[in-house]
Amino acid sequence: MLDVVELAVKELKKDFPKADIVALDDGVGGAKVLINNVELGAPFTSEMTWFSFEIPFNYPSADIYPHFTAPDLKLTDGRSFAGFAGLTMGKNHNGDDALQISRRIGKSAHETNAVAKLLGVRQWLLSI
Amino acid sequence: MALINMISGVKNCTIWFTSRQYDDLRKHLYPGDYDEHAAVLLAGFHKRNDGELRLLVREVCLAKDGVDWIPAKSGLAYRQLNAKFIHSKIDTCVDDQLVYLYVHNHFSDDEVEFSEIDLKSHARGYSAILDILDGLPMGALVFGKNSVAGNIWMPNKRIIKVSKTIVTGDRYKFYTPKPIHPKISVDETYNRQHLVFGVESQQVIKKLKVGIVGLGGVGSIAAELLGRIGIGNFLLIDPDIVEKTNLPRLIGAKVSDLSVRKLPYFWQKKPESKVNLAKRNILNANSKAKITCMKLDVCEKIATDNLLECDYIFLAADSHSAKLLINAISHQYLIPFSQVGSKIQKSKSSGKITDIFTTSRMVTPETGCLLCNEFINFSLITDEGKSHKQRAAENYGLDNNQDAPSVITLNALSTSEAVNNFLFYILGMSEEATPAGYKVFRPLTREMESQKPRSSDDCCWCSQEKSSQFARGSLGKHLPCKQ
Repeated sequence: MLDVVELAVKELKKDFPKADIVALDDGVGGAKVLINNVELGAPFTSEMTWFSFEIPFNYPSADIYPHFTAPDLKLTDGRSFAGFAGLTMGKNHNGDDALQISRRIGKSAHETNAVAKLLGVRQWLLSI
Repeated sequence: MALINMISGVKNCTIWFTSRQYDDLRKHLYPGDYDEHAAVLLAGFHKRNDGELRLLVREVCLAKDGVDWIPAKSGLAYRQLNAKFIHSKIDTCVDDQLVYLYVHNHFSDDEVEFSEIDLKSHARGYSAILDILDGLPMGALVFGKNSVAGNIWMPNKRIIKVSKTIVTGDRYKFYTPKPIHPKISVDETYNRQHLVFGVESQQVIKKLKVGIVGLGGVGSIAAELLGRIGIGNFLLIDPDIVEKTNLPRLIGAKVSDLSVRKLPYFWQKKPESKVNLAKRNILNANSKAKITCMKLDVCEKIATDNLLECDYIFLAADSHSAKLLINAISHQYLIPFSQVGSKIQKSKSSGKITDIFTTSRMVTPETGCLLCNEFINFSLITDEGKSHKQRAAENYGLDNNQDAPSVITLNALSTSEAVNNFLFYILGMSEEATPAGYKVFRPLTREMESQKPRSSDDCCWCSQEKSSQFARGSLGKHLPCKQ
């Protein structure tokens, strides 16, 4: 992993101290990250979930997206995710089902970072 | 990589300024008072494979007369730098991993050298400074009105002379300790060009190393033009092979360059690569050209490392990852480049052509940063790093990799402008006003537009912000390429 990618992983570990974070080298300097036990809660029925994403080798100049999360997330009011722009159910992520969250920021991570991006994605999910 | 390995095997040294830095320094050294003045330069560095150590000026610290530049305490020298000024600059060098260069001026014109007093002063003080710098080189430059000389002390106390001082940016010019009179060998092949550029310039052209990233419609033309002009050294980078739909746009491409012929097993022929096709064309024009072909993506580390050996780069690839990388190289290593392309816009509803424009964007360490001018899309960089399968899966089954409309005559328009611009720039034929900047041609209406690029004060590549990578060279951050 390149230094900037390792730093991004360290920052994730620091800002999500209760989460389990696994970062695997993608072979070209980036990382595939799985972060378990991220707090969720209302409007979802689950209190916790996981997120998975890739940090590209050219981070922080490349955006980090999409993010993936548990395929069985449910809203407490029973609404379906079908038709929600930016959410796609039934995506194949590393051989398993996942819910894909496509939130491009349109700017480089020089203006943000992996932690802020993940927090932003989680915040967006909580606001649907 | 350990610092000591980065600077071992140095054979000669060059100093690289932007024209703005150089002009500011010159005004300070020669304000018209016929007196000596001084400054300190903080520089990044890059050691090339041929042993040239390039010191890339990141910051010019002018020594204020009477405050930082004071009468000498010993009877030997005329003036000296204030110890507090020296220490603050050395501290910055240690913290930011930069090379310390002390500068002062003499009054000679085309030839300059250190005086005996200068050399004694260096011998007295520089050993101690080298120890503080802990593995970084340091040096001294002396300016004449039209000349620059220098000595660089390596960590092992070996002294390397500065062979050339280059100004790049708004213009391209170089200075030496004394006039150079190279041995000219006239090749009559280029007689008609000699009438434009001069015989000496042809020697310069022959020694240049030019990188071309992308050997498709635009890069193929660039390779042909540069080969015919007599550029002596090429680096060609493109991962693709020649396909049928390329034939109308690739110079010299033949049907026999295409596809695999299904002959008996042991006679199977692979399609030609775009880099090999370009190499073939260049050698047809100039059989003495030295050409390195890399059938790779430019973001592969070995391709990136080789680009750092180039004097100029033509970026003829569309990808945003390539734009990001070449833009980073340009500002971190002070290597100018041209980004060239053409675009045909069609109405989505009617399919009618709405606009055609071709662009030639020259980027120097001083102006034209593609990031500041919003030509780099960060989300597309992420997309480009994924496989086709992954992109298709994440985009709900859609594949965005559709062919863009392209015509050889449009590619020729922008490429020719870019190559002319490069030649006039590198041979010092451009006027002092900037030859860089963007040119946009609209062939439908036969209009040409010049666009002045923007610069952001906080750009991570081209600005003077403390965290920017500008002129940091090998000790800057890892370039945005694969590990």
